[in-house]
Amino acid sequence: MARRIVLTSGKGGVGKTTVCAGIGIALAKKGFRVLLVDADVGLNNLDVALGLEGRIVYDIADVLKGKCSLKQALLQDKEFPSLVLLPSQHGFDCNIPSSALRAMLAQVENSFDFILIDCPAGIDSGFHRAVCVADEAIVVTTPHISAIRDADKVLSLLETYNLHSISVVVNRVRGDLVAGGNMMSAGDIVRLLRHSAIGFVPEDDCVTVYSQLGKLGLSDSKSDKSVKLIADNIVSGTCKVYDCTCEYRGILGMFKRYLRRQV
Amino acid sequence: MNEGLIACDRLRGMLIKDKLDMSDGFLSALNNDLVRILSQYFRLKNDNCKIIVDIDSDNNYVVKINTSADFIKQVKTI
Repeated sequence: MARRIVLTSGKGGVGKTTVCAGIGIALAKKGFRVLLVDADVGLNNLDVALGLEGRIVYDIADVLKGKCSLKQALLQDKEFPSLVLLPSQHGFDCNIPSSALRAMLAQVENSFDFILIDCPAGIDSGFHRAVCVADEAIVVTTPHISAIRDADKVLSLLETYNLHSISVVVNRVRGDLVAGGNMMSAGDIVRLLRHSAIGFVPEDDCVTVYSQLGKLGLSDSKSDKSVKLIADNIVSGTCKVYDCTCEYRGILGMFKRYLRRQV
Repeated sequence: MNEGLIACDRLRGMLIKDKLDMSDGFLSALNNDLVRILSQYFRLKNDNCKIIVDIDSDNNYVVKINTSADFIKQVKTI
């Protein structure tokens, strides 16, 4: 039976979809069967992050309307065959009830090890729909105060759901600014949010470059290493996080910080 | 103090304020009740209490009540 994990954030644009795709890829690389569910109805982008946008024939709405079976709507990844996407609808004319989504996932949960649900931003009906079909939640935030504040509100809201675990990913951490004392560290953020961290992802140009090509997970960048650690933590229940400041410490690190600031 | 620590303090204050979702009416009702009870034991200097509600690291509410009195009333206990 699959573990159902929802990735949520509250604030939009924190990298929820990218982290979701990255974790899915990292788990698939480990040999697990992973289903990525795009629950962001109307503003779906998980297909784009995976580079599958041109291959969608059917989506969740088509399954609900009876136009196709659930298996027909599932889309296998090109690079990682054990990674499968359930695409969302790009129109706005379909309201998907949470009970329908739950029933849909129940049909396939024995075929996968992990079901990752990409939740829409905000805390309205889309959030409720995505969270109430999950057993575990990962809240993604960035080190920006507005994103952390929203994450705190989402964490309080998640406490009211029947979830086994709630953890935090701090995305886009600027190691150079943290090492120079100019920015809150990811550890400080997690302490303020009073929840355990499952991963810290450094700011990385590779994410921008590879995601625009739809080729996430194909580099060996620092962000990929950090997401791999998140996948390890999910599988084994450990709490090993990436040290985003490691390359900016010491004499060489100070020089790197200086150069980065100049850029 | 560097910018990171300042931001951390600012965020801490913000999160506490968000969590303390109390109306002004709540605090004034609490103040009135406390003054009424404390007045039975003390002669309060001014009929007012200073109430500070905070949250500790375990997510518990910490309530600090500050007032001053110039006289303790004699209370007979049976």
